[in-house]
Amino acid sequence: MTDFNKKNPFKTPKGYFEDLEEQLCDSEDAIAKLNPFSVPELYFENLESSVTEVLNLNTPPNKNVSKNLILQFTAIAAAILIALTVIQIDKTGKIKKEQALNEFIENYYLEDLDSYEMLSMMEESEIQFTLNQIVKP
Amino acid sequence: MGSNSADGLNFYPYILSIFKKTILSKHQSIFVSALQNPSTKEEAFRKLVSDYKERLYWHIRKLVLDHDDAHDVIQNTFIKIHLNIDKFRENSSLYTWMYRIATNESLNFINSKASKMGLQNQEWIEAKADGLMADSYFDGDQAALKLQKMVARLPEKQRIVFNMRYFDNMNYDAISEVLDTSVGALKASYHHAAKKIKTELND
Repeated sequence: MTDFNKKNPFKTPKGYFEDLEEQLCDSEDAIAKLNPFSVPELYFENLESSVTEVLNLNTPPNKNVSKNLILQFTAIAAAILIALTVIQIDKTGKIKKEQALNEFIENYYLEDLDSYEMLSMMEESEIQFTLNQIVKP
Repeated sequence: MGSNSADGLNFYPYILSIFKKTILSKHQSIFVSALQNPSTKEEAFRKLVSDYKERLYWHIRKLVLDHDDAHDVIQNTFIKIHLNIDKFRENSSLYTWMYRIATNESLNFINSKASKMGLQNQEWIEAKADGLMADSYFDGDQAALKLQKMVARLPEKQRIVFNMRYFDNMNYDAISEVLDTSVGALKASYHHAAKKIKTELND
């Protein structure tokens, strides 16, 4: 009878106590497992660039940029040089043309016009100015 | 019939996991090929850094404890990954391989720092743990600090296993691959570590 009374009438699911310990530990773990460590603000955002910088992964794009810049500057310099040269050539041509024309006109007048004809083509003031120029020396 | 359908139900997640593994493996192979191809290496490596920086950082941080040290180690880790990615033969998953490099780099770092100060590795780590409360990047309360100090007092191997199993929730197979140690030995290490910590907590 005593034995009967001592007998525990209650039962638990199989493996309950094994699981219970884990469950209790897990609930404590969940609190303890909260990550106590932190990082500076924006650390992970900057980490990527920091790593690629250390590995010089940014160098190739920079090299390309500098290469492109050099090419652009060279192209601009070349264009300016060409433009100046063309303008210079053009100017020289113009000067040469003007000289040739003046020479032609001078030769034409000197050779084909007499003094009377030459005077008739000039204004009175121009004649006076020319005479003054001649008298002065 | 009922038994068959029950078997089918049990079998379904298994088939799914195999499909998932196959797809992941294929995806990894493509990514590794991109990492090993000189024309795509840079872009692929940027993606790798972007995808894995946080997970690797936290693994390293729990081993070296200090943020600045963790930063040095993660940079060295990515340098090693970048330098050795061509030698990666996919005998393990890419993440496991990187995890192994991060672990080795952390241990080398501790070894180097400790020897410079004429200390044993464990002494150096314990000193770091003792200084955690003054660390501006440690937000833990007294309980968290106590746990970190107890973990710091564990032998190196047990400390690593405890960190990977307890904090990172890694399974023994994955830890076994990273540390190149048998699952049985890892279970024993974790058991000893957990027991020591529980005993100290009770005291």
